[in-house]
Order: sequence, then structure tokens, then C-alpha cells
Amino acid sequence: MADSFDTQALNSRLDSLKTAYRQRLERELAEIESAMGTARGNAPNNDTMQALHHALHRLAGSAGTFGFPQLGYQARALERRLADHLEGKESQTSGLSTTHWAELLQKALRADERRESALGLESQSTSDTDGQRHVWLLERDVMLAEYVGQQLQSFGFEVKHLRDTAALNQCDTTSTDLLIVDHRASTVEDSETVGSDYWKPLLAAFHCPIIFTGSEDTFHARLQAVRSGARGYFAKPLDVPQLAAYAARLLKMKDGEPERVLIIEDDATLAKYCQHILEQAGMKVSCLSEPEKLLQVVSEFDPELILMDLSLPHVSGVELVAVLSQFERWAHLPIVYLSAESSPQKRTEALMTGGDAFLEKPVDPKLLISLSQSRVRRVRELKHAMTRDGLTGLMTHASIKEALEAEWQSSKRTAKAFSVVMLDIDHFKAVNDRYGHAVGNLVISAVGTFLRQHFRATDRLGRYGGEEFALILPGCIAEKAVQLVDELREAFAAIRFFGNNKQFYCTLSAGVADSHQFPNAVPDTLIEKADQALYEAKHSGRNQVCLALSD
Amino acid sequence: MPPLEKVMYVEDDPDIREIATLALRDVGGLDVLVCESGQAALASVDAFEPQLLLLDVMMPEMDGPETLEALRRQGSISSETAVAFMTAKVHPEELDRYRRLGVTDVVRKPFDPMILADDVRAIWDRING
Repeated sequence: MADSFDTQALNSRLDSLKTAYRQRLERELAEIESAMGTARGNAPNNDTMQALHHALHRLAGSAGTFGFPQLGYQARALERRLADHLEGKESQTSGLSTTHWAELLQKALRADERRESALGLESQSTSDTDGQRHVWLLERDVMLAEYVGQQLQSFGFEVKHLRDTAALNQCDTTSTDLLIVDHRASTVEDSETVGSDYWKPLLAAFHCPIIFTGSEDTFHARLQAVRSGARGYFAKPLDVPQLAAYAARLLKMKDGEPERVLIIEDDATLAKYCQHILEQAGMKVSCLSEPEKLLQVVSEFDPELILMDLSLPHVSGVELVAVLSQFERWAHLPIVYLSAESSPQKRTEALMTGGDAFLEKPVDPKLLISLSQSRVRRVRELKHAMTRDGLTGLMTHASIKEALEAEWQSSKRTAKAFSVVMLDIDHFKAVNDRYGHAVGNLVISAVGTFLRQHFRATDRLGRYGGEEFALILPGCIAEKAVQLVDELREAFAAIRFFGNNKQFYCTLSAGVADSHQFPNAVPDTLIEKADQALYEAKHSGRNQVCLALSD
Repeated sequence: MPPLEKVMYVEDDPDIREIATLALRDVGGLDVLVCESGQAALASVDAFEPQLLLLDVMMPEMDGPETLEALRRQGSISSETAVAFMTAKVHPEELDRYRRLGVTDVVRKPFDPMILADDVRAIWDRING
């Protein structure tokens, strides 16, 4: 490496190259626009189309290097559509409409130029300090890694490629959120025979989830993966949308909200001790020593688990549980009793009357942590199963409507705007007809993964029905939401699906309305307005986002 | 393994040529011969004796793979010469084409000028590692 280069001089040269490139962009965009004008003429000849394709390809490959990533991205998307058209993949009936292309490119360029102030997708994520999910891909096949990396990036993952275990050993094992391992990417000569004995010690340093990939889908291969320490196994050729869905689920599970545990215990020292242990394990803990405040504390703290002393002053744990169960909301809260009571009969009684488990005093810290975690996880899974759509992991129709009602109520109090987005997969019926329902479902589930990856934890995302989705974005005005969803629309168009041995892409249309546009609207009206905007987007050619018209 | 010093770079786009040269030469400290076409590469390759070839894939007249084949036919590439393609997109069907040409490494466009030389050095280390 040249250590002596003059950073300042280099930067100023880079800047001047960027300025020169920016001037060239003016020319190129004008040329592209005029080529598209010709292409829209009566008989676009092949040369024009090829020239246009070449120009878009050049733009896709260069813009990012000079600091115009959005433009490069948009050019790539258009290039791909043109290529599909030239290869006759796009259905002839729909034809190729290049009407908005110049506008799309200009818009992307403007987005790059105001990037500083723009609301980037990355800043929406609350997962990490730099807002990215880091995935390391250990794969010997460099080109396959490139391809998988590109596709995973469309889903919002930051991907780093490592070619073999030698590269892996040089890395800081704590700086990734997920590791995807090609089980043949070892440095051992005869890689075919490398098994879990090789991988297990090597991967032990990684505390993040690990996924194995391999060429065969056999019980043996899956067992080897498990024995090597992997959570999942994917056979090649890799189905990237499915891999992304799985990865997203693993990562969401890992860094979900802290578990909320309420400790009801009159022995202050013991309460503090348990609190300390659970907080060390990343949980949120509240302590209650006066049972008469139970209802108030429970409704404020909203615990997911209660640790309760079996015998409190003036009242028993069993009685408190009975009081809680009078309320529908709290009737199913898991209860773990803390007790020095060793009489089997007493224990059985306590468990019969609503307790879930017993923890003996003195409390074993490890047991306390694992018991608390497993109880809360089960409660969450149950809640998830009841309120989530099975295919996408998004909220169900009923729960997204409930969330809308709640957001509407809260915005009336705070006067903060929120946006409602109705979003729909374009030509979904054609996907089902052409590739079958299984592939159609895969596309729907990919939209679910994609949305969950790109939105904040506070945004509410639901599958409204069929291929239609409803999003509620608190604290976000419609203009911002349009910009955000439009960026997502572009990113989604880059995801490649496979069906009947053919590749295809899907696009999204969306309509957006916010609560300030329609101050007198009830929740259903907002949905209606966003739906009308969606209709407008569909009507004017699909693959776009429309803002609802104010009254 | 000798360290990487001499890189021949073939690219038709003048702006990309310039920024990549800056990235490889000034940032990376490499000895770079830049060619604006496959023909130019064929003419000057033997005098330069590059250790690594970096070829843009999509070029008018002769594209990257064609340039590579011509260089091979001309006997300008030894078994020690590393070859990588530079491309804006990587599709499985293209990968097969590259593999048949014996190329296993790609540099993705757009590239970051500050790390391009590191990426190229990593390719060299992998091929010789």
C-alpha cells in the first residue's frame, strides 16, 4: 500500500473527477432522453434500443463510483427492464413504456444530490449503531457470492464476502450479525470429507446465528450442519428470498425488545438480587413489595412474566394470581413462584391454581435466567401466532386495523401526523397463473420479509389481504412516506424470483395518505384515501407510488 | 509469492478509466498500464508484462471475454497471470461463461475508489495463496 499519498491532493483530484462526471451526466441524461424519444416512435429500430441499453448499463456501472448511488441503482433497474424487453421476456401486450424513465433518472439524481438531508432507509432501522444488518458470506465461489450478496443487499442486509476459513480467522468474530457458510469453504485440501469436527471448533467463536449452505439436500448434510453449530441449512441453488426471510427471522429473534419481568417479593435483598441477575441478562425488571399496588403496577409496566414470592405478608401468591386472572388481559400472564417451600403438596396446589413453574430459594442465577427467557419467548410466540399472518409474519388484517385505530387515537392527543400506506404487488394474478400458487406465495412472503427488514420497529406492517399490504408509519408525513416507499419500490424491483426454471421480477404499487391531509377522517377513511391513491398508481401504469389527493 | 505490482487495466469509458487509475496508482501504489480497448491491450501487453489483468466486460467491438481470448491466442498470458472481470451485474448464466474462460474473480461496478486497489490485491493473494 502506498502510505505516502497525499490525502488532501487525492481528495481534491477525486472531487474534480466527480465534478467532471456530474457535467457528463447532463449530456448523458439528455442523450438517453432523446434515445427514449426515438424508442417511443413508431418503429424503434434495434440500434436505438441497443444504444439505450448500453447507455443505461454504463450509467449503472459508473454513477456509484462518482457518488451517485441512487442514479446508478435506477439505471440498473431500467437497464434490466429494457434487457428483458429485448430478450422478449416481457409480455408483448403490456409493451415497454419508457414514458417516465427520464423523469425517474432525474429524480434519482436529485435524490443523490440532496442525500445529506434525505431520510435514508438505513436511518430508519433501529437495529444497529450504523443501522445495518451485517451478514458475512463464507463462500468459495466468488461469483456466486457476488450474486447472493447483491440479492441479499436488496433485502437490506450489508454483506461481506469471505472466500475461505483463512479469511474468516482474520476477522473480528463479534462484528457480524449472521454468518452464512458454504460447508466446502474450508482451507483443507480434500474439502469433501470435512465435517463437523472441522467446523465446530472454528465456528465456536461466533455468537451470532450461523446458516450452512451445501450442494445436497440430505438428512446427513442437515445433521452435519446441526453438529457444526448451524441454526439452518439451505441447499444450492440458493433460493435467496427464502434465505433472506429466514435470516431476517433469526435476527429479529436475537435482538427483540428486552423481556419485561415483574418481581413481587417482600424480601428486598432477594428482590434486588434477582433484579440484578435478570438485568445483567438484558431484561427489564420492576420490583413490587406492596401487593395492594399490584393492579396499578401491572397496567403501567405491562410485564410479560411475574416472579412471585409464594408467601407475602397478609396475602399469598396464589391469591394474587387469582386476582389477576379476573382480568381478561392478564389472565394468561406466566407466573413463576419463588419459594423455600419444599412440600410437594404445597407446590402442586400452587401450580394447580395458575402458576407455571417453581423456583426454589436460594435462587440459581442460571436457572432464573433461562426459565424467564423461555417463558417470555413462549408468550411472545403465542401472541405472534395469534396476531400475525402465517405467510408473511406481518400483522393480520384485524390487528393492523386495530393498530390503525390506536394510532389514530394517539395522534388526536399528540397532534402528530402519521401515514397510511396501501401497497400491492403488480400483476400478481399473472405470477400465480404462470408459476403456480407456491411461487406466488413465495413472492408474498418476500414482500413481508422485505417490509420487515426496511421499516422501524415502531412502524406497523400488515397483510391486508391477498397481495395487498397496509402500513402505518407514526410520526411520518405523507411526502416523506412517499419518498420512503418509492425507494423501497425501486429496491424490491431488483429482487429476482425463480419459477418453472425461469427468472422473473415483481414490482409494487402504493398509495399514501396522512392524518394531516384529512384532519376529519376516521381510520376507515384514511384507508380509503390511501386505497384511492393506490388505484391511481395502478391506473397510471403500476410500479409507482401515488400521494392521496386532499379534499 | 511476489507482491502485486503491475496491473493492466482495460476500460472503454474515459471517466471510469481516470478514477480507476487514480484508485490503483495513487491510492494503491500499483504500476498501472491503462488501455482504452481490447486492441490497445493486445498491442501493449507484451512490453508491459502485467501480473494481473483487469478487464471491463462490456466494451464496444471487443468485450472483456473476447479480449481475454485474443490475449490467450496471442500467447500473452502465462499461467501466472491473474485475470479478473469488472462488471455492473453478475448473473448466474454469465458466471458460467466466465468460468469457462477460467476467470473466477469479478470486481463489481460501481466500485469504491478508496478500496479498489485493496480488492485487486486480495484477488492476487487469493489466486496465489
